[in-house]
Amino acid sequence: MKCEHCEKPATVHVTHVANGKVVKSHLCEECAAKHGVVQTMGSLADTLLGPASPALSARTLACPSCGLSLRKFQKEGRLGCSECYEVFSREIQGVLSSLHEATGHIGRVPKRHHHDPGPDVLLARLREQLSDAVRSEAFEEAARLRDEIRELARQTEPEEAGTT
Amino acid sequence: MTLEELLDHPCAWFVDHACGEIAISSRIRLARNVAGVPFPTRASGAQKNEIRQEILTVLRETDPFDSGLLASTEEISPFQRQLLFERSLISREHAELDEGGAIAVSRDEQDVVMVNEEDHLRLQVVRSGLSLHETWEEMTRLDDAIDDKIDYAFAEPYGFLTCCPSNTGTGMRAGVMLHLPGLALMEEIRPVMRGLAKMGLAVRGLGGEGSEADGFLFQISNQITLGKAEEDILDDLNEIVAELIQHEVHARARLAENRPNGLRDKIGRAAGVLQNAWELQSKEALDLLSLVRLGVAMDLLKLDTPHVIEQLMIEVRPCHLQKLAEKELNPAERDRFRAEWVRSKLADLSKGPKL
Ligand SMILES: [Zn+2]
Ligand SMILES: [Zn+2]
Repeated sequence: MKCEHCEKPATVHVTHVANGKVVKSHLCEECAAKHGVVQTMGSLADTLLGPASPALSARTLACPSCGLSLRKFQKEGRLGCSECYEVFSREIQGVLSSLHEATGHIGRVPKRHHHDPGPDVLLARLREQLSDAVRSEAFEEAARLRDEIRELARQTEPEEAGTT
Repeated sequence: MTLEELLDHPCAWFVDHACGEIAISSRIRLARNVAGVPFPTRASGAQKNEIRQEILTVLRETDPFDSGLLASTEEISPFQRQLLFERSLISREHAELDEGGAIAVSRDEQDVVMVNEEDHLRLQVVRSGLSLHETWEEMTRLDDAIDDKIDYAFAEPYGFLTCCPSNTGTGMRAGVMLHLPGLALMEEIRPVMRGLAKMGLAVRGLGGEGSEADGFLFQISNQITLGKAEEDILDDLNEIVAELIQHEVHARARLAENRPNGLRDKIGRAAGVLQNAWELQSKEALDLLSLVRLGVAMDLLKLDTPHVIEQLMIEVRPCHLQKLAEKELNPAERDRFRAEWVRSKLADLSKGPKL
């Protein structure tokens, strides 16, 4: 990654909240020093306690399940229950993208959790099954899969499906 | 197993196998919460009590806690909790918690569960040396065993839901404790630490977050918990730590070659002070013991009994010292007793073949 101000490699990565959005800056050491930017070690409180902004100052917002208010979350950086993740999803996504490159989990999953792979993965999987079925001349199975793929594609991309 | 029995043991993972090694221990922690119950920070006293009972009931039948120690916070005195903290078995926060929590510790102190710390469950597995994969293997076994009986809080796209968003995802923190006196004496520790920070790793002193690196002991751990599978995080950490160990080996070699007299002087003085002092403060003792440990590893000093240094590095801490003295000691009394204890343990410390 290159520095925002010059061509040198960016080694200082800072995160701050501006206008309700988490903004990341990537600078080289010289430019960072010039602008008086210090690398923060991903302190959650720092990120959350950025300048007050309209989007983040919804003071009344609170989790209906555990009662945690958005203000308290912003102040202490701690969540109260699983439902908080839905109620404060915007803020949490902001925090997570400031701490990590990704916003989605990869890794272990509890045994009882049914993984919902999403339509793209499902389509890719069905297409693979279809080509297997065609290759092994299981035409009845292939016809069934073809219909299933069409149906799923129609559901996920209504406009494209309408033209065919 | 009672708490007294546990605390009478030497600290196995630190003392038994870590003799002279640069990598002292590998530690993995997993943050887990029970689905449908508020996290401990927002749960009522009754909810915390209920969840604690549920978790303890499960752990009581889970290997290796079935033969270990299970206790509620209220059953452990604040002094005993500090002892557990000095052994890195529980966090500072959990040691300061007066009610609503619980701990489970295996007989060998290598598996620990903190109940109702910041999350309902904090699983910890520690092994001596650089052994992240072996540690992970045991951790997955333990995590699976608990997952069989307890419904974990988990949701897409976040992964495991934790009280602090900085743990969301895998909920995993993996760290290796390293003894790096060579890099410290060559004054190369700062650039190395800066490099590690740039690679997204956290560097901490012995006492955990925000603590100073007493005794040249450093904990290197991952910061990323989201978007990277546990094994990949461990592979990367393992690779970087292995490289760091090589840096330390080279730093020691350069010390011996470029500053032979300075090195002998430092280590000789450390041994001299520890064998003759009548008052020793905690940090001073740790730093000098650390130099003596380096001296033994480099054949400049010789100790007939193994593990003495590692054991002393735990014993010189305030609570362990008072346990050894079998009475409460004020800071001045502690310094005198610490010096006396160290003198008696290092009586057979002598010159090594290379001094
Ligand atoms: Zn620049
Ligand atoms: Zn909540």
